[in-house]
Amino acid sequence: MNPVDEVRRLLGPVDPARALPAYTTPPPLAVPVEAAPQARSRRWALAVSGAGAAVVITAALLVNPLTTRDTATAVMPAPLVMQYGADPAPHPGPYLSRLAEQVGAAPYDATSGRYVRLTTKGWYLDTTITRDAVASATVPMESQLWLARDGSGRETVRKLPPEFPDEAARAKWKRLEPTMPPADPTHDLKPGEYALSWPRGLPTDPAALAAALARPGDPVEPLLRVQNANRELIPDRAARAAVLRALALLDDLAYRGEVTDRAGRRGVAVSADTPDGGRREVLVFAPDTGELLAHETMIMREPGALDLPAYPAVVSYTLFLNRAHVDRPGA
Amino acid sequence: MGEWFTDAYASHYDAVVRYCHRRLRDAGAAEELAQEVFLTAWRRGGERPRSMLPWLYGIAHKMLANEWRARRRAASTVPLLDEDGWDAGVTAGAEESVAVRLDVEAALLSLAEADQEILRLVGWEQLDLGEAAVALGCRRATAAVRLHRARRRLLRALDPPPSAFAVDPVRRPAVGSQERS
Repeated sequence: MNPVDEVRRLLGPVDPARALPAYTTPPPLAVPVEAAPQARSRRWALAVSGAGAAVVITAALLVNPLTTRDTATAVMPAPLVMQYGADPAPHPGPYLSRLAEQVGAAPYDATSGRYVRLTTKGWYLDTTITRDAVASATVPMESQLWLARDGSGRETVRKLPPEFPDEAARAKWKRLEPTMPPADPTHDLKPGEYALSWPRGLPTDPAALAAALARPGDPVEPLLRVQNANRELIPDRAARAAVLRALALLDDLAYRGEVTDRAGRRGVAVSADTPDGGRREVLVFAPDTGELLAHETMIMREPGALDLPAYPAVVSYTLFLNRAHVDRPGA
Repeated sequence: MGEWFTDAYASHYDAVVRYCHRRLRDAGAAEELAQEVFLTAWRRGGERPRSMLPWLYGIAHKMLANEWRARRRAASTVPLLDEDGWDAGVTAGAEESVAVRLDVEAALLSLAEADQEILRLVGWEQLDLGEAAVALGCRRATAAVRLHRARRRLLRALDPPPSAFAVDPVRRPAVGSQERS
């Protein structure tokens, strides 16, 4: 018996999906926009039902707790004030190249350890919209990840209790929210369990890195790949400079200039818009070390399904707060 | 939304839900993850290969590896004898069959995740080696080697193989409490 047939013979009787019904009519397509710390690849998106039925949209909006008030609109943070906030903004090429020349050492550059420890924090508002109802919840989230290059380590995600503008909103959310089992805050990762996007680290050759970051027709992807890399590794000084030089080589990016991130840190911002102009991704880098400080996603105009109070609307926000090399998970 | 996407959604939703269910053991979570898989597929439509279903499996695999870990943990105790699972309808006299299934399942769960995945893709998703390679993002030859090694390790874990078992299901280890990786 060939290996394929033998495996099928062995496993066929224990197929856990045997008892599932046939999904002959797919349900309306839910569109998640949540950008939770561990949700490394989720993006803002809008879609219609594949089955032509009701449209269900799940969005995630950043919430700045400092400005949260008891209204629906207050949970929306104001967009960052940027030096070149208006369009058209200059191309980042010369700015980032100059910045790359000045990239200095970060505290962890001289340290080593089997694990990287990455601390991030974000605030999100999940909004579920059905044909006849809208419900929102504000969910602050803190994450720590200890990760070795073999994909093992530990992850701690602390999802703080959802916040609501009022009791009616809470009741609606409870009715509409997807039912998912509660997750343990801490999870130990077995070797290989965390699938690294950059198993060999970031290339330090700017051209090679630019090629690895780019995807034709998708201007925002390089920025998302940079922030994804920062969710699994600590770029050293050379890699941080290479990131800046690589972004300087790419088209369709905008230099937004000086900015203060939501942790009060000075930075410089680079942005990219989706081809339809509906979504903007923003990265904020530290001017002295070249570290990624923050990632922010904005919806630029009314997408036709969400009833956000104003546009552009910040829909996700992540602060990269701390990086360290340590010898064991939990350290 | 492209026609390719609506066609793919209609054609492959069932298979993707099953894929997710086999790894999550939670129908509701599987349905939700399947929707996220299709959304990711929609966003990455420009990358889609001709072999759509293995590509969708590959997306699901990566999402399971990362984004769904925390959620999956809550249901990490795999009920091998759950009410609506594969053992539904087991009757007296079928103990041997039950125990064999338990052993195959336990053996599978004892393997490394990479071994489990190639075995599941071939054994449950019914992919051939070329399709499994698409799902795993590797070459066909690599998939063949992985399957060969994973099959060998599965058989070793089953030693002696299931057909040779003298069965006493009562004395079987409590594999139902194993945690999925």
